[in-house]
Amino acid sequence: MPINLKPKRQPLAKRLERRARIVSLLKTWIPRLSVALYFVGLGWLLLLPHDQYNKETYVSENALLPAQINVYYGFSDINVAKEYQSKIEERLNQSSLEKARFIETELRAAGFRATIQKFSSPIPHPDDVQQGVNAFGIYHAPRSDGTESLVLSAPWVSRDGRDNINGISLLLSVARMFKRHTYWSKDIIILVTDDGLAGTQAWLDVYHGEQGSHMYPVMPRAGAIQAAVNLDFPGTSEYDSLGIFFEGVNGQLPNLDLVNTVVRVARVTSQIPVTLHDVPEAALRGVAESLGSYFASLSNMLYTMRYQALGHPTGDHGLYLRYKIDAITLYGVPATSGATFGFHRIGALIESTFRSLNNLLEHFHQSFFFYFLSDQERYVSIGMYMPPVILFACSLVFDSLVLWGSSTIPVATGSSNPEQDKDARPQVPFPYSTSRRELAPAFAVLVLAHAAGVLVFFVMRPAFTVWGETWVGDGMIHAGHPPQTHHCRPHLRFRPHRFHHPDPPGRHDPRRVQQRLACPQITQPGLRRYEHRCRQSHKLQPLHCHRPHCHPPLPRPPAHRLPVRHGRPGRLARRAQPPRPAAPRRRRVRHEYRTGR
Amino acid sequence: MSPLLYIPAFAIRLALFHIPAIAETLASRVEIVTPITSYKRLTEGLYLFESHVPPYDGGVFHQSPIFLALFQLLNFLPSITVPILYALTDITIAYLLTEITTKKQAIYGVKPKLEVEKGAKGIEPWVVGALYLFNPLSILSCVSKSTLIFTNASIVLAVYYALQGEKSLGMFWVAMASYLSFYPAMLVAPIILIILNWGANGSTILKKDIVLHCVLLYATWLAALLFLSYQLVGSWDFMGATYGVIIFLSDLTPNVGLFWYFFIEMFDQFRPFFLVVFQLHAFIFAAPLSIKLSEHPIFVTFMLCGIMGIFKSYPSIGDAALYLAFLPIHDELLKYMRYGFLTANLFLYASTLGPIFWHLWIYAGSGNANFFYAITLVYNIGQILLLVDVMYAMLRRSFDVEHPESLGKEVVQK
Repeated sequence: MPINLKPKRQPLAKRLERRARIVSLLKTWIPRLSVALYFVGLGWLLLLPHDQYNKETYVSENALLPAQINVYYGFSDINVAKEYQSKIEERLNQSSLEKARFIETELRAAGFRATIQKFSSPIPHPDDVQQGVNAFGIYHAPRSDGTESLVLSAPWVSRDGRDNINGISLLLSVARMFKRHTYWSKDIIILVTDDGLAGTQAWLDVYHGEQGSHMYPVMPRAGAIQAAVNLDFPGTSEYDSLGIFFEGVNGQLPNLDLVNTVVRVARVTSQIPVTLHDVPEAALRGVAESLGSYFASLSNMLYTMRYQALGHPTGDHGLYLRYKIDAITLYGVPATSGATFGFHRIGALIESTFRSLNNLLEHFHQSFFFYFLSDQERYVSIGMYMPPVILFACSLVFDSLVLWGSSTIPVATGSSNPEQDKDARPQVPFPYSTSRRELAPAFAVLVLAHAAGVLVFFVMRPAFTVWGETWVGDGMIHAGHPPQTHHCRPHLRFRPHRFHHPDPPGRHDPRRVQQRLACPQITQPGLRRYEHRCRQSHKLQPLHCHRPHCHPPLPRPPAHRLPVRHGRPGRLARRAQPPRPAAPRRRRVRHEYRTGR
Repeated sequence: MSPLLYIPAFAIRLALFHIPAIAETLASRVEIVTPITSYKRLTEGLYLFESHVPPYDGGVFHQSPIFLALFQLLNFLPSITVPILYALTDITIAYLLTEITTKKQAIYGVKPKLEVEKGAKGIEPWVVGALYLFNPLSILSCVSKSTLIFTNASIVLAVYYALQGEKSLGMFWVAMASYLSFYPAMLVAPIILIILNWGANGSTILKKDIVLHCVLLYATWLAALLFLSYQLVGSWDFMGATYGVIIFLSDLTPNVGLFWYFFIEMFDQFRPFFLVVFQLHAFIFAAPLSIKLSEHPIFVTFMLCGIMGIFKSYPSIGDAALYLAFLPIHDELLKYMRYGFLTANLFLYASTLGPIFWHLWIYAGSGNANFFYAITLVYNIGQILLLVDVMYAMLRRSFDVEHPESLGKEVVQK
């Protein structure tokens, strides 16, 4: 007797009825569900500042070893800083050029390779010259191979509008101290920028080969910048807490390890109270004591969200982030009362931080790039805050599904005879649907939403790039190309080289040709010049790029020279080419260490 | 209707060509141009060619030698010629699509139909052209100067001439398409089917002979094109540099396809095996589709173009533009499709998130390759769902046409 293993199917009518019931249930409940999801998401977001839902930060990159060194920033350096303080105060009313010359002279005196950079500036100057001047110097470190560097920068004017006197004094005294020591394995760039964000943007553009309309043909370089620290210590008095600004253009954030390093050094080595942004640490503590730590965390996160949503950088560091350089601004929150700190502790902080950055083995990559800081030492990772965001998205998707389902217009049946209709009505729905959809309202909403988005975009006008001109805040900087094109080979981090860079290995490697091809200038007229004739194969070699960071066609004596032939070598000769010489060791370590001067 | 359609389409393309920021950006987007279709690489090859250096030396240029001849010729003309050529090619494709639609509707008009379709007018042929011309994917692909457009034009021309019954020209254009980008070789079967079913009306020649004739024509044209190329560049290096790269995937530049990530991750000892698997997978659909749907060869062409656009080694959005243009020709299937909402959403997600993830990976440095690969997976799932949906629609409609009494009743497969 055969056994029927199939479950018994219910009659068709019953199944259809059940299906209809499910559909109508979904139609009633999904809109409610999507509203519920929205509020669940909101509640979840509001939970995140609570200590149960965020974690303590940790330094993820082992190489950094923050706060593990003895600091050398001492009394002589403090005295140097104090001298600079008065020198700078005297020069505050001078023109941009004179101020930049002062910095240049001081850096040169300290042994840096220093120069100035002029750029067309959006900010009107008193002498009616629309020109800002940056000054910078490079310390080519004894143990570096010139491919990596760190930036220490300070603007002339602080974020609160006062003069950044202490910041620049610190910068110069720290620069002198850095030069005394030999343990640097990355070059150090000391940069003083003019005209706020415009100066930093102009410097970054030219450093990365975006000549644009900046009037600066030659730029000393020190390899790819690994990290940047921007000093903002306004006035000449002391501070009661150290504010950290890390939000960049369009809400981009530096790697959390950079923030962690600074915070840890500040706590352990220099024992400075740290706060996020410019809220005095005491005020935050007051909130925490009166309302609970939850509200202090919430306020920190809301500040960050506001800065990120606006898309404006919160300091000069924000512009570095666009070039894949992790950067942070240290701001001295002016003292009102209570314990204060000055040059000594800040100098130690900068020194110790730079010693940690000096240890970096590669680009910052270990820790988070997407996070919220609820406290200087607590964070909410992307894994924690994405679920509520996904809930918001789900609520929208569910709602749109229901709208899609109910947007069909049923086709009117021609007959009016109910009896006939009953006969004509199918047992099961047709496998096709001839109904139309009301799409016009949906598209109208879509178009309006996009138009509103564009409007908001222009009204807020964060730093963004349109057709080769960089807009920063309220002023326009002429920058030629959007900075995204600075990569010669998009999948690799690019390394600007020093002037007399040795001929890189593997010049004849086809992949190098490919790399040059990826350079955006190839299609520009007048730049398709192929002067370089390869000495190995007697062929014209394509060398397109005339950009400063692409390698110029340096003649190189071939390691294996074929017998000289005229014209193109034949197929056999081409095939019989000797193997390529082994590439020279890339990393050269100089062994003669300089002892201070 | 047509000029009203073509003039704005032409104007949009020329206008975009003349905004260098847009044209240059598009020409370097990995979603739009691939190593085997990039115009930048073509200029490189062209320069080497004009300097009497073998153009395939250096491993940058992977396109057919015929492009060298074509663009060398264009170099003598003013620089506006190239944009005009690209825009005109797109307009030719659109024109041919309208013609194909007209012809298809004439053929399908006498075939058995569903009850609901009787009296209903099919899609206006010019709408098919408009859908191609104003599809953002085809506009972007055209403005990026991707040479894929010539492959697409060849495929459309092949279908068009096959419908006209021009055996020789039809096979020439298939040969051209497969000469340009290799994968269209699988379109030989549906094009022959078109000639067999509808092209050779009233002829008394045996079907077997027509097939043999077509295959011979194809082989002759292909051999002629290859030999011409050999004459042009003076060596057979181009075979390795074009088809070799397509088959063996020596350039792993990211694209919207499924190959690059796998072959970056893969250990070298598995590479040959998976190359065979991946390439075979792209071709394996040609025979079953041609057998099962031999009554609907235009539909088979559509399906195979879609499969090429998903499973080829260097796909780009230009491939999607082509098969999406073939879709509205079979407008009778649209009412059977069930995943329209999902597919449209997946396409939209991919087109928004794709550039964002690319930016996070390459420029911002805060993402990695997995981000971009994940979104290309979403894009490909969208495409596959679309094809599955259309395939279901085709089979179900064929069943309903054959069994009109089954409509509205429960059909159980025993």
